[in-house]
Amino acid sequence: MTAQASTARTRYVDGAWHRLHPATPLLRGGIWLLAVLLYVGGNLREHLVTLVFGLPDVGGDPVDEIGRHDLVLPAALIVLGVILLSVGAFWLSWRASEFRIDGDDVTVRYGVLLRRTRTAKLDRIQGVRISRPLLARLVGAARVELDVAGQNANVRLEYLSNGAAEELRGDVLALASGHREAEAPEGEEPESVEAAVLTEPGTPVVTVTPGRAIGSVLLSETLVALVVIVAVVVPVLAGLGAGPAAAVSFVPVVIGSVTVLGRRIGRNLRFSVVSTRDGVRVSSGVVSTSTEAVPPGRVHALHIEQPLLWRPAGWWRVAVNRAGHAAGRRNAESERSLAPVATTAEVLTLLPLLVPDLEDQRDLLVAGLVGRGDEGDFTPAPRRARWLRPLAWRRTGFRLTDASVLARSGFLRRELVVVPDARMQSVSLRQGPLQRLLRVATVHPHVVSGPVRTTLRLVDADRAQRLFVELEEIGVGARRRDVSHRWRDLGTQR
Amino acid sequence: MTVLPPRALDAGLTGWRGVSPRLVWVEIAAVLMSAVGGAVVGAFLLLVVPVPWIGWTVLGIVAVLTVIRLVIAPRRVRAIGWILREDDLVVRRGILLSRLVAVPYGRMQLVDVNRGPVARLLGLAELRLVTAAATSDVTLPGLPEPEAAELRDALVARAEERRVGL
Repeated sequence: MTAQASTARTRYVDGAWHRLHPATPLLRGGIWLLAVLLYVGGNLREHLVTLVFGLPDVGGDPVDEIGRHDLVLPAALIVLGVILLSVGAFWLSWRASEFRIDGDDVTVRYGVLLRRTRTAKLDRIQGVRISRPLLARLVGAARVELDVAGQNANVRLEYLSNGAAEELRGDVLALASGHREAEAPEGEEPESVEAAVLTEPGTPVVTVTPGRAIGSVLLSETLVALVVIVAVVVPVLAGLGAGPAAAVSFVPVVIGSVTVLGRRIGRNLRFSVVSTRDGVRVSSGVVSTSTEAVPPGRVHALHIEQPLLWRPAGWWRVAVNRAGHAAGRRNAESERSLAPVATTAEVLTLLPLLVPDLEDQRDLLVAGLVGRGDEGDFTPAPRRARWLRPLAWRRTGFRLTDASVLARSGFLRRELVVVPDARMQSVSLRQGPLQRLLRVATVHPHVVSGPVRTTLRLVDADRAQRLFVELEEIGVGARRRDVSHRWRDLGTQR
Repeated sequence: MTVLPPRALDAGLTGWRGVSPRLVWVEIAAVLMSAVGGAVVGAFLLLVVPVPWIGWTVLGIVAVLTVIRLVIAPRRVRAIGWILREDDLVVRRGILLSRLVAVPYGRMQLVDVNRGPVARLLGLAELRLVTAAATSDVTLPGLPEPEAAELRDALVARAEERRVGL
């Protein structure tokens, strides 16, 4: 690490505070300034014309009024004052914006009235982006953004001169990778894991049959709701003597729905999950087929749900939260569900592949999927919680296994959430007034954002407080043991 | 810095440290600011809408809410507590809706120190922790500036020691 670090130590990496590009405040407030100038300029245009060509004065215009009442001097002073004030404010704001890079972290501080200081560890930085908005380009400045995992967590250096930006990017990347190489465990190459998952031969886990692809869409809640609306609204309108008109107005709705449903069926048909030695491979897509690798360490939370209408058929939908997707937000469609429709048997095979801890836990999983009360050693919600969830309280419960947390809920729509201990970011415990009255609380293990909500509801208040502490201890302990996934495996998804 | 008494929902943890009582003034300023905003809306409605009771109702609601918020402001401030534990920082907030969050040092991605205009006059700062999970969102307002800087450095140092992947 020291070798890289020393070569990287240039102008900016000296632990001293550096100012940003002098035009920074102008560029940040640039749009407004430009707008004001254009507005004023537009208004003055006629006066310039008048001044040059000596056209007659029509009156009533503020600028003319000023001239007529000998207020030119005060007006000029006011304009000058405003300009001086804004220049002063810009100068103060520039003086207040500084950044510093030393061996381990980057610190940025800015703001005159609202002072903000942001410190990021160099080894947390996932990448460096340089962008040049139009105004900045005019003065040869660039915005440097240091990507850090987390919502709204980027460190922005606005603005630097082009040369400085490039130089800084080189330095930061060199420093970050220096840290990375020092930290990364021997022989572990996340990129190769992903590549292996994509190329290895595997055995199919989830294959969607045509019957299931069509049936799952036909039994979806949106379609049923649509049918009900049509079945109720059309006769009512017909009864009011507006039959043909109503029928016509429904045509576009029906055509649109059929298109959407058809696309969904198509996607389901093309869908498959294949298991390989290092993780599962998900293929989907109607027009262009996309294939994604999901190594088990990349799964931050799992959600298995069964809408009421799917219950007779025994179908489930599986969704996951993945770190790379939290940042990327591309292909939201495939992000939403890992498997759009799978049978119970397929789910029971798939889950252990995604969360290795659940291997040989068939009974537990079945209890989590369809059980209620304390089946499968789940800790059920206390009876008094029925006031908050009259139907779902019987199925609401949680269970801690050796390396993950299971949350079961939903009466009409069965749900099971799985959070691997090692992926928990933090834990919260919440209690509102009603919950306090019923002596229950909500425990929430936080994971990276995605379609899965990982809350444990209706937990007995005392148990919840113990659970909060337990989860925190488990989390810290599990993280100590888990060394296989350094942050840098995130970078491969970008 | 005060040591707070235990509460109903504190997960059995002890040694809660309170924030500066001066934070009350920041809260009051915020309440008054929003009261002014509400009053402007109410006055506008009173002037523009020909039905006067609409404007008066809005003004009345604003007044009642403002009084309630001013009355509970000191309690809200007293409810904020934090503990710097071996492996994590625990923060608690709220009286009606209690919230307790524990962030392990190893999971922290960023530490922000923010100072609003009123807080700065009182020499206070707000600490904000960011993890990879958007739901974490831990803010700890009302720290005296030197203490905030100290805590920030301590947190950054511990994050460094216990760093783990996602």
